[in-house]
Amino acid sequence: MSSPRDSAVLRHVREAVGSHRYAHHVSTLATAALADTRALPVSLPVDRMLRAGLVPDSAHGLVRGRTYGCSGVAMVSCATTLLSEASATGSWIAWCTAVSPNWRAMADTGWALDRLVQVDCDRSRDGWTACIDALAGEIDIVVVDPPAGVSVRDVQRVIDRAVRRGGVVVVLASSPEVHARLGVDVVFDVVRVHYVTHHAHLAGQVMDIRLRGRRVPVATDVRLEIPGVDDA
Amino acid sequence: MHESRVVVAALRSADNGASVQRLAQSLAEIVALSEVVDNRHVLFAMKGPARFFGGEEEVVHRVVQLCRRAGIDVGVGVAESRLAAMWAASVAFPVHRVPVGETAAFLAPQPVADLARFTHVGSDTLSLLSRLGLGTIGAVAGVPRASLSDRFGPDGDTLAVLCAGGDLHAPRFDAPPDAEVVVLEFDDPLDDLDAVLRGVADMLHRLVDDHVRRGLVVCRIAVSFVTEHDDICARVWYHPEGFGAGALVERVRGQLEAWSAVRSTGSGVPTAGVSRVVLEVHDTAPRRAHQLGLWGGRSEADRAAHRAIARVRSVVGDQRVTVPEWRGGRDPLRQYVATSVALVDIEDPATARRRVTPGEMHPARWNGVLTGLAPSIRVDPPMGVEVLDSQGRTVAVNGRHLLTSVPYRVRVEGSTWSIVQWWGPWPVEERWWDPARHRRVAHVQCIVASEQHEAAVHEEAWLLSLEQRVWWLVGTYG
Repeated sequence: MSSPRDSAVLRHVREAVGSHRYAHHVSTLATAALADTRALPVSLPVDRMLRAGLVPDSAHGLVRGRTYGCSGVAMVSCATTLLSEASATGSWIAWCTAVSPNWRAMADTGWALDRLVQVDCDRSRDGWTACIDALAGEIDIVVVDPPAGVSVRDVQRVIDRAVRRGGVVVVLASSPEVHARLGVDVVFDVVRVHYVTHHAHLAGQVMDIRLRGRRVPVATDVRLEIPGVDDA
Repeated sequence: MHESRVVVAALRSADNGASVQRLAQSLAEIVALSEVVDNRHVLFAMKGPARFFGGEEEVVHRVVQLCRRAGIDVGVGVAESRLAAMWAASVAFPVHRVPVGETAAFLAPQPVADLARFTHVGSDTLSLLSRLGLGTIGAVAGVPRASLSDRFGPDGDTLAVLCAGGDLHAPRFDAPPDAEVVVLEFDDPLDDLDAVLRGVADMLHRLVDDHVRRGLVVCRIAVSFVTEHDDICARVWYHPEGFGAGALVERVRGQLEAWSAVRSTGSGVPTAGVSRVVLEVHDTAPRRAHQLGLWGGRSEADRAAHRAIARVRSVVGDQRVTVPEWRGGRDPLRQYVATSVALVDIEDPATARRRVTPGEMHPARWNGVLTGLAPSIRVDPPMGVEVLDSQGRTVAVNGRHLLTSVPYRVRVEGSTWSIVQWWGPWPVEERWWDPARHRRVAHVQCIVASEQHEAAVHEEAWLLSLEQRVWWLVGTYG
C-alpha cells in the first residue's frame, strides 16, 4: 500500500518515462527506493550504538517505516539525542506525549526547533487515535507515549498505520515491557545513568543502554554520552 | 500640497518589533491611523495631521518631540512615496523633507544595493543590477519597464515602479468604498488580551483563506480594537506581496502586546475590556504561484507538515498544538515558551527560524543563567516538595544565598528520596523593577536515590527551586 505522496511521485516517474517501451514496468517505488532515502540521519554516537547492536540497515540511520522505543530512567534524554540529527537536517517532528520536554535541552543537542510541534493529545482512546492519525504520514517523526486507557491492539493499529505511510514512530514508555507488547523494532532501554560534573554543576550524562527489540538480533549493552552546553 | 505626502518615522536600531510597536503607540497621540511597515519603520499620511496642526513643519516637529519624550531615537523622513520617505528617514538628523515633485531626483543617486533595506526585491536581482552597471536607482529608472520586466520578472516590475518614485500600492489611510469589513463583537468585553487574540486569529485565518480561495492575497489591512469605553488601538498592516495568515496574526499579536504594555505603565489606555474588533481589507493583489526551493526555502516536507498541523489543530483545537518560542531569561526551563501554533507564522521558514533563535527576537545571553546540562523534562505544573536536612528540618536559603543546612532528603507526594549529591544554590532575581512580576528563586541540582528500591538503587537527577520559602521540583534529567 503506497502513501499518497508515493503515488504522486510514481505518477511523475511514469510521465517522465513517457512512451518508453519499459514504462509499464514502473509499478512501485518501493523496490527502487535507495536505503539512504528511506532513512533519517543520526548523530555519530547514535550511529555507533546502532552498529554495535547489529541493527539491519542501521548504517543509514533511522529507517522510515520502523518503530523505535526509548525507556528507562532517562528515556526523554535518550529520545532527544536519538532524533537530534534528523531534526537538524530538515525532518519535522511532532512530540505527542504527556511528558513535557525542555526545549532548551533539545536546542542544546542540536534540534531545529522551528520544525518541532508539540501536540497535547486527548488521552482517551478515540481522541488519541484521531490525533496520531492526523499527523502520521505527513510528519517525518512522531513521538508518542501510549495512554494507559488505550488497548495494545489499538496502539498497534495506530502505529502500524503511521509507519506504513513512511513515518518513523518513537514510542516512549517507562518500562521496556510496553515495547515488547507493541513489537517495537528497536528499543533503547536506559538501565543506568552516570552524571558528569564540572565546576560544581551537572555537565553531562552517560547512559548505559540495553539495545533490544524485534529487529535487534541479540540484546546488546551500549553506552551513550550527552555533553551539556556551557554558556559561560 | 499635502495630498500625497507621507511621513516615515524610522528607528535608528531595529529589535524584535517591540520598539516599533511602542513608536506606533506613541504616534497615536497625533495621528489616528499609522502603518507599521517593518520592525523599523512607521508610516502615516501627512494630509490629516498637517491640516490639523497647521503644516508639515509643525507635524514633524511634534513627531520628534513625541519620540524624544518617549525615549525613542528616530529619524523622520517626508516624501511623496513610501520608498523615498523611508530613505529620507534613514539619512535624517532628525528630519529630512524631500521637496514636493523631487522624489525621483532624491532617489536617483542612491545605490541600488541599498534597496534591500527597504524593499522585498531579491538580493540576487540587486547584485546582478550592480554587476550590469546599473549601480544607482536613477540608472535603473532609465531602463524601459518592459526590459526590466523581461529580464527580472516580478522583481523587474517592482523596480520599475519604485525607482521612478512611485508606490506599488499608494499609501492610504481611509477605507476604500468597496473595502471588505469584518467585525467581531464580544457580548462581554474581554479584559484578557490573549482571549481577544485567539478570536482575532481565528477570524484572520478565515479571512486569508477566503481570499486565497478567490486567488487573492491581502496586502493591506486595518486592524482596530475598540474597548467598551471607546479606546481605540488601530494599525494598518502592509506587505507588498501579501500576508499569510500566520504572518498577519504575529503582527496583530505585537499590536495587542504593545497596547497591553501601555496599560501596564498605567497611562490609562485601554481603560476597559475589548468589546469590538474591526478588520478592513484595504488592498489585495493576485496570488502568485510559489516555486518550491531546491535548497532552503519551503520544501515538500514542510508543506506536508503544515497540512498535518492544520489537520491536528482541527482535531484537538488550537490551544493544544504549540511550538517553541525563544524568550530568554535565567531559568533554563522557561527560556523557550509554548505558543499556540495559531498565533505564529510557521509557513515562512525565515520567520519560524527567527522565532526560535536566541538573539533574534529576544536577547541570547543572560548572565547568571544555570549553565551545563539542561533538564530534559519540565515538570508541568511544578510539584511541591520538602527538602530536609539530617535532623528533619526544612532547608532554606539565607540572605547571603547560602543553604541554611546540608540537604539530606526530599519528600515528594508521600515518597522519600535520599540526596546523594547536590550542587547550588544558584540565586536568580528576575524583573526586580516590576513589583507585579518580580521573582526571587534559588535553584539546586541534586542526584536522588529512591529509598523504596534498596535492592536495586534507583537514581535520578532533579532540578529543585526555592521560591517564597517553598521548594518545587521543576525539572528532571530523565
